[in-house]
Amino acid sequence: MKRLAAALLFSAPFSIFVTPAIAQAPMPPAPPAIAADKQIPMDQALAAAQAALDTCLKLPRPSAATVEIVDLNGLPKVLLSADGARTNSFDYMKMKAHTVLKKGMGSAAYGKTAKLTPGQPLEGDPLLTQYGGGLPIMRNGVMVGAISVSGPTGQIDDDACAAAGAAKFHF
Amino acid sequence: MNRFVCIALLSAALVTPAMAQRGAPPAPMGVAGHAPPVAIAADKEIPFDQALDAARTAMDTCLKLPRKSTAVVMVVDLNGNVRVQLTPDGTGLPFYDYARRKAYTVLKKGMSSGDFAKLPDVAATPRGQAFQGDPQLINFPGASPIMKNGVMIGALSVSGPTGGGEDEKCTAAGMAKFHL
Repeated sequence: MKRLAAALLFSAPFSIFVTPAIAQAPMPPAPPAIAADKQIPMDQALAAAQAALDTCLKLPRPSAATVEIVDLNGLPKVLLSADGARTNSFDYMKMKAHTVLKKGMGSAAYGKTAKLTPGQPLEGDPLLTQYGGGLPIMRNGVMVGAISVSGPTGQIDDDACAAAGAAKFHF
Repeated sequence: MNRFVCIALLSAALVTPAMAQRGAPPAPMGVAGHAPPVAIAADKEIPFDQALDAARTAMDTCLKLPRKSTAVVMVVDLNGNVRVQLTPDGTGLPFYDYARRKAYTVLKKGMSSGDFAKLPDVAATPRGQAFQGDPQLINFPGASPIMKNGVMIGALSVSGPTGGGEDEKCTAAGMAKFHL
């Protein structure tokens, strides 16, 4: 939980806090170092992201999706955005990755348990989402990151693409 | 009757945006923060295959330097949205942010971050102060505009632990992969 908060602070779009220039701004705690056995190798991350993107593009209704692989700190290892991807895909993709890391399960699985109140954020966290498309990356039964997909054709397609990408990991 | 319709329409117009906002997702978060995105003309879009090729080349160039540099590489469009980001194994935490701010500097100033650093007012800015009043701007070299027919259509940004001079070599190698 603490780690997530740190990651969110660090990756915030206005992360001017990192700048030494703004010395008076409070420095957020640095995200914790990720243990060697919980790091995601670059080549596998790229292969997975590419597989997810290609799966989406080859669907019966081709989906120009945005795909992200994040580490346990929520920082992007690989981000790929297909030609013609919509700008709102970025937000949903980020939210799905956040949901996976925070809840330790796929965003669709979380969506089944989530208590939705129209107009209210889930559990008071506006970055949680009930939409499928985010899946945990598991290594020896332990989560080491998340793969998140968001495209214009909806969460069922997104989930299928994410699963195709996740299948590329071999730890 | 007519007046009633007018009042009903007016109150609907006033109330609806407020209600709609509550359930709306947050505004897009690009490199430039929460700026509203503009529609990018078809001739200013960056083809994905070229973006990936350029980013891959920049990252590999950095990894093969005499002093190996595990640099974060990103290609962003005119909205500051990331088209491709690659993070090699073992990179440091600051480089995510430096890469993002370099890309922001290119998009905002329309020049490479290295050229921005050479501007007289930027070079004269005392250490510890924001450049031109914008704390997102950064004077580290390593990001360049992606040009098409003399017009900027995005930015390629590299940030690694061996410094801006080395980053620029990787950026140049990646930039050579664009054929727009």
